[in-house]
Amino acid sequence: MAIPILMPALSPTMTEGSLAKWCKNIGDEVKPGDIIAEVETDKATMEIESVDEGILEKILFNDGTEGIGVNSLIAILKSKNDTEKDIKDILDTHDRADNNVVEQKNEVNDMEEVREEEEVREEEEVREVEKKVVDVNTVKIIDNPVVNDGEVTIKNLGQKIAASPLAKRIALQNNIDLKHIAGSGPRGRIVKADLDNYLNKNSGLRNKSNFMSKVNVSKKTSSMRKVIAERLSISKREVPHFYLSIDCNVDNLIKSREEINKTFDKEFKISVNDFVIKAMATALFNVPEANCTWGKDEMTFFGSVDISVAIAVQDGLFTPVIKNANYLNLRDISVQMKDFVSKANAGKLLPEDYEGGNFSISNLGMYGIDSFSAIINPPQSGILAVGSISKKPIVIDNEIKVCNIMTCQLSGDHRAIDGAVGARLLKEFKSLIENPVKMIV
Amino acid sequence: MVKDNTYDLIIIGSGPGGYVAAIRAGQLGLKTAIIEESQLGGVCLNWGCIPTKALLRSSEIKHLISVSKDFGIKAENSSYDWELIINRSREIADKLSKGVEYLLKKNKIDVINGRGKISGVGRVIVNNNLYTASNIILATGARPKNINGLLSDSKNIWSYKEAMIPDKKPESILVVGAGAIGIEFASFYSDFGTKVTVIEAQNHILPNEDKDISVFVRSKLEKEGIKILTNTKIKKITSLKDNVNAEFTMEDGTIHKEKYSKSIVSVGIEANIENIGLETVDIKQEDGRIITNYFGETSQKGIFAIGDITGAPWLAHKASHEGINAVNYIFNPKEASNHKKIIPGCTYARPQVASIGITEKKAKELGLKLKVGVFPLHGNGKAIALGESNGFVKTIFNKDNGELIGAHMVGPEVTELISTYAIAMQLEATEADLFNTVFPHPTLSESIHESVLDAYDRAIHI
Repeated sequence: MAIPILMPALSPTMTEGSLAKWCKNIGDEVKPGDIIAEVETDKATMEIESVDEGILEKILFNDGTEGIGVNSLIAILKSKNDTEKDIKDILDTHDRADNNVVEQKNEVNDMEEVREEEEVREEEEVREVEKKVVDVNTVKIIDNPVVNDGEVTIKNLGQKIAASPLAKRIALQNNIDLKHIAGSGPRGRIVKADLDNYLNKNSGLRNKSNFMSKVNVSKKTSSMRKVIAERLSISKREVPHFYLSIDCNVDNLIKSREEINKTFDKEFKISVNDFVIKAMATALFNVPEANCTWGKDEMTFFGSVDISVAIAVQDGLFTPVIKNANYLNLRDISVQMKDFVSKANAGKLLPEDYEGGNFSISNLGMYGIDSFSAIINPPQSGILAVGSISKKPIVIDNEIKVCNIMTCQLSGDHRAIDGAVGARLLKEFKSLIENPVKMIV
Repeated sequence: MVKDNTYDLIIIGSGPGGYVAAIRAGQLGLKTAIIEESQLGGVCLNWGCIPTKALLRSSEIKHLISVSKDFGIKAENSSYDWELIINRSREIADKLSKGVEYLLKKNKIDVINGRGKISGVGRVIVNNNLYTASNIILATGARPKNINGLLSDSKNIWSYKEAMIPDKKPESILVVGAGAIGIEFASFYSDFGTKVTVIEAQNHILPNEDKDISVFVRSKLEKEGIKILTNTKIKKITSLKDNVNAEFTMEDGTIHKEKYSKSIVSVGIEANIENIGLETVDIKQEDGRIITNYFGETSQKGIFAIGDITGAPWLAHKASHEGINAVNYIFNPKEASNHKKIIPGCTYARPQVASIGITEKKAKELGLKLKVGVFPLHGNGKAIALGESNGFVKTIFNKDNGELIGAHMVGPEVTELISTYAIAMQLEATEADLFNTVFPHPTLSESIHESVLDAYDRAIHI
């Protein structure tokens, strides 16, 4: 089969491009990997690389032609067994502007001399077709002129497009507008083969931007996503968030954790997050004015410290609650967390596991996130966003030292707590997480 | 006056490829000649499709009479006349051959009797006369494959030709090769009480069919008393005075020797490409077949080839289709339609088998994700009323886009039913279009609908 070469879309927004330069001439042999041409957009110049082999049979636009629409036919590769019909089919199939086609003919004529008689005939027929296209344009019918079987027909000007059921479905699945396809079936009906050709064509050219998009998939919104959407929309809309961020030196924490975990079996190992929960709970207990919720008429100050911990699952997240976390030791917290994680993954968390909670912790450290701003989970007044631990140079006593730093960011509900309260809470948290021994008291 | 030997088109061979191409050429007003050295209509009409269907109709009627009491009809003293059965088959073949003669005349086609040989581009020699044409279509067909030791001796070792005109019914028959031809003869002779043994080198009978179909047909034929040996290779057949001595290697490697009254060899066919002047032109061949492009044109411009000489599937309707396609292209290349050719296949044994598209195994090899529906005919009211509810319809869809990619049927009149699938596939109907189609009740065709529904777990009568 002859292979059409189209103007590629070099970026998602590109609608037209300029042909900077042809790197091959008509009659040149093209091998996979050869650069055929350079194409220019307002942003960059890129090379069109061939994945097919053949002889460059036709060039439809000269060097320097501007404003060539994406997916316009710019050239045709001919393989050994191609007939005049194969070439003509491609010309028929593609919308073309008339630019430069006429000048191009001179080169075609040069070629003719060395051809055999039959091929000359083929060429002439192809040129006949070209002439008709030019005719169409001179009579100012420029909406998608499509040449079909030697006769000029203006397709798709609001008419119904004939396509087989299977062709329609493939077009739908691949986001292809049938307007761009010329049908090869009876009376121009679009059939599967036409779409296969179109899809092959579009994957036939490789360039530096991937312009073939994957199929959009529609999925019913899960109830979990609905809840997340509703609650967080309310939060972002109604809760005036303020953000405080602090770097914590966790050298001691790492050391303590190593010491503790030495004595524990694998399944009881304490995680960094367990320390964070314990530290935050203790900090809230020590700064009780931060442990509250906003109410228009009256605010509630919580009697206990119940920490909601975000656990990511497929298609959403859960926030089970460690109740009275300030009174629990690290091992209790760790055991509860491990239990919550396995229940969450199995979809077996009970409402009492995730209802309530006065304050949230969201830890994305394991994903390598340095720091981030979390959205408060109403009616709570705050959430701590925990980043990853990484080694950083810091200045201690006028000396640069390499320490393990973990950045934590507090999001606070400004209606309930002010910056100073939040700052005190974070300061307390920092002092605990940097000196885990204090948590024992 | 000197006869004008110049034509627009000369067709060599008048089988279902050649004569159909000639008629189409006549319709288009091309000055056309067709060359035939034997009978008009070729193997299909004279020694293949048609006369065997006539024979199988006799065996079917005999079978129906044998079960007539199940239908409340008493026909105790029935018998048959072997000679009449054979004669009827011949008469039907002759009638159709005359019909072809009439149709060719009606379309103003010159019929030239003799062997046509190409003698350079645009030249054909018949009986030492030169004819010229701007286009030539080769439609010389094929013949039974010549395998050493299995040569037909026209007496005891038969090809399909001898198998359809014996003087008397043989006591026992060894059928070598379980393709459509072998299985049809096995079914025919078995219905008349001949002790039939079928051997097949591959591991299934009807090896081109879906495995489920092959397994089903085998069990049905075995119930009828036909002995079937698969993975069994013929070593030698020796023709004796009134019978044959056959030697074959069984599945377990042992050699088996047995005497049979006759043997039918149906181990495939090969193209008739010799002695037709191919050496005078530049026509590419491969594995004993002529290579053509989509429109049947060979590597030599102006020379076309259609039907069996271009390779599998060796089916009459494929040849006819290619013939029409080639003539349309010769008449006007721009108008010629570039559609896909989906060739159904039929076997007229009892039970009948029909299929189109690809098998489940093949689809899986292609890495396709599938939706497969199977509907047994005992869920079909019409089949039950006919007393022929043995069989099933299997439909295969591509799960990704609902494309109908294969259908496989076994049971009564499935050779008629397969056309429904052929249309659906040609028009690229998806499962949804077939869901929406109303099938008349009560008909066997409802089993197609049910099979399609079953592929999506929606069948009603299972």
